[in-house]
Amino acid sequence: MEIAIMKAVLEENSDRAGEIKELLNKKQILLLNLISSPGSGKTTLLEKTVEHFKDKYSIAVIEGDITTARDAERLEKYRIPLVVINTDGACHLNSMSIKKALMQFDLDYLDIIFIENVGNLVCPSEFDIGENAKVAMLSTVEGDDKPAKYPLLFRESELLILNKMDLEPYTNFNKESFYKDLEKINKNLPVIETSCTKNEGLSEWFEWVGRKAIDGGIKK
Amino acid sequence: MHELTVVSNIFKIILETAESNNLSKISKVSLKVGRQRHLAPDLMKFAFDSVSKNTIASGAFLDIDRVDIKMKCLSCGLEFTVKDNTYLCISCGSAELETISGKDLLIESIEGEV
Repeated sequence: MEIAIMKAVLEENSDRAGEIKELLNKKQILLLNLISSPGSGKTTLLEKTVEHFKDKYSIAVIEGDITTARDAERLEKYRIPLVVINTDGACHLNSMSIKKALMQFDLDYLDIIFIENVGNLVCPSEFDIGENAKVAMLSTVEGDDKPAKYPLLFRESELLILNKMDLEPYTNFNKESFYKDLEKINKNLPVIETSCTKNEGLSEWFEWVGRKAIDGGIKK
Repeated sequence: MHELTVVSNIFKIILETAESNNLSKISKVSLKVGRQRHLAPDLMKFAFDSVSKNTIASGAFLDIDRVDIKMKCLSCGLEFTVKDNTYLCISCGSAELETISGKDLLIESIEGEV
């Protein structure tokens, strides 16, 4: 016998994501989900971002890593609320674990929460974890063909940070081909070129976050 | 390999359905998977075989229907299928599009015996 089901496979994840959205909307908190390959500069970007906004916004970070708390240790010096989610092998965060992590924060005092997803260009882009926006990050050393090879992330994100521009002269990164691919995949995706370690291009990113915070109706 | 997450969810849902319908065996699972999703059918089948081992779903056939990526142009109204990862209207070139399909991830039905 055949039994019709017609049910979304990731329904539980979507339901929890919806609850997160509702909760953070009520608490007037902006949630940004940072996605990139391992080593493209997410933690460095967060270090600079937390430092920049420290007198303006109350920031918290959720660090997703398969194992270790090394990224979180790099952020400890800023004395911000931090939660580490070790996925024990899983290649992405899900909304169930984010919901649990949020319970460890005092949400009445936070303005912005950044999620540093597990380093991976593929899997995290499939999962809504209740974020206001996904932010994709790519570094020039990874190659210009990544949007063409992993289009979903570049479709789902509201912003792309192209990092390690200072290293571009030492790579075979073809900027023309990169922007040509991107125009096909997501013409409306804004790109900010940065070098996080050299503090280049970051003011544009800070402005984007600031605008997003205002649009998102955060407390301040 | 998020196929394992996806397949674990599928497994949970089909077992619940089988139980509430008193099935003793699941022989086929029909799925709709949009082409925009980075999900490899082979990996899904491999993951399903591992997860379903020694259960009533063991050996079930995963029938995966890949759903094309279809967009509606918000400028000229044309509905078209996305090819070669090009998300631009094939008639007017606009990038203002609305997704009709392609991100689907749905369990349609199961077949089995009571």
